[in-house]
Amino acid sequence: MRFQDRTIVVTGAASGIGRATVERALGEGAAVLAVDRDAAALAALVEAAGGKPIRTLEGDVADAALAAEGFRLAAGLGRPVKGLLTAAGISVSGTPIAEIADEAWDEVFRVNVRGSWTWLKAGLPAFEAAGGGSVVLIASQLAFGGGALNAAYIASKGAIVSLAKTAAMELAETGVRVNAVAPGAIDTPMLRRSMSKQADPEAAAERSRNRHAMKRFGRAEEIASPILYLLSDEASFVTGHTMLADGGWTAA
Amino acid sequence: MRRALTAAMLALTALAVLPAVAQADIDDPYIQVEGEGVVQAAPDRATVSAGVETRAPNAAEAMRANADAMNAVMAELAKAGVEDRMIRTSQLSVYPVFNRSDRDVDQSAPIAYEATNQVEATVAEIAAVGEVIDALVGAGVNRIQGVRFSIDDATALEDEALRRAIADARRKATLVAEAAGVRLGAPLLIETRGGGRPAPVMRMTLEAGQATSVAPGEQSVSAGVSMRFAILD
Repeated sequence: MRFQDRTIVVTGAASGIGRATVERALGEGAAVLAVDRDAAALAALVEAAGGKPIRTLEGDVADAALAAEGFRLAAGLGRPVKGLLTAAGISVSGTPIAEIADEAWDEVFRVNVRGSWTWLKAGLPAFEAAGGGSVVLIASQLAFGGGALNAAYIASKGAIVSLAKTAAMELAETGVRVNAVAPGAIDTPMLRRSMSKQADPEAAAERSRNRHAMKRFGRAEEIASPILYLLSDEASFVTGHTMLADGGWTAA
Repeated sequence: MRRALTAAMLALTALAVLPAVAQADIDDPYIQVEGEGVVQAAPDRATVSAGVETRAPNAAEAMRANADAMNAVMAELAKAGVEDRMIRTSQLSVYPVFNRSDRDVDQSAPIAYEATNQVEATVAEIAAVGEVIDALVGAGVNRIQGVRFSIDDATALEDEALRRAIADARRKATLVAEAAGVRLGAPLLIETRGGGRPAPVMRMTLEAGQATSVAPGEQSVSAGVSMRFAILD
């Protein structure tokens, strides 16, 4: 029960890595403010929580007004708000650089980078009130290795690695730790959407699996584990770090 | 004498000497002053923030009921003449509700789910605010969070505040020059600072059976300027 004394805010909470983290955090005693654009999936998440302390908020993560409301609601859960996971992310994979529309590029950065920064920024007063906090951003193993036909997403994840480092430096003296987790390919709705855009989805999935030393996709709960470690006090001397959890993708 | 005067002026303004314009010598004496300008104006827009809360046995139903209530609110706002682009709704939230007072029931199991949402409606006619609030309450809004007043286009007011700030700075510089027995020269440096519009005090009464009355008060548009004038020999 690492999180009984705190509230954790999670964006992208209704599916994939966000959802797996919410479920594990609730199981370890946390109160959770779960944010997502999918209202129906949030309703399902609340009902599945079976009376554990959770509140949801639907909307666009790049909207600063939503982030302000999120931390207001999080404070209403009655515990110090000490954790933030920004798991909301999108990709427009399968598009060569020459064909990525400017609007698509901007939208990926708006959700992935601004959506992370907006919540980090909005959370600072809450973390100060709590005497410190831990922020986990979601990067990608592709930020370190590159990858074809996914330039906007991968560049945005590179920005996340840099944001984690620079925010960690700037906030260290306030007791706020900022880290990132860089997952390999994880079997989530986003990955399945991404694969379905390929000419031969099954062949693309097979190629992707084989890029990992472990020859398989990761599961969302396998990413929730390092996230929860970084959110917890066990990681009290870890900040500015991007932790790879990629099944050996970068090692292979 | 010239050196002493410069030192006195520096002490007066408590600002460091920096060569701001190429043609001014660092040793040229100057007077530096701050000017403030304020313009009062009545706001011409009001934004009403309100909340809709709905409760149901499960989360999905609570959200559906909330969506229905919001549709009714939007219809009422349209009837009251508020355009779609002046309405913002985006903060649907749902959470479990517990019975913490009855010891005979399982207090860890939710007894219901509550969904909340917010609507913000902006009206261009201050006089219509009360009517809009009444329409919202009639349509099922159960929480009025407040009314925020603003000025749609404050450019002309900001310009006037800046004019007043510069006049104020010149008045002070003239006063300082006269008191010190020196002649005031041309401005060497003019720096403007961003103005501010403090939120007005808001009054609102919500009583059953009465039309809602809202008093917007006045808003201040301010500007600041820092001016440096040459002292003529």
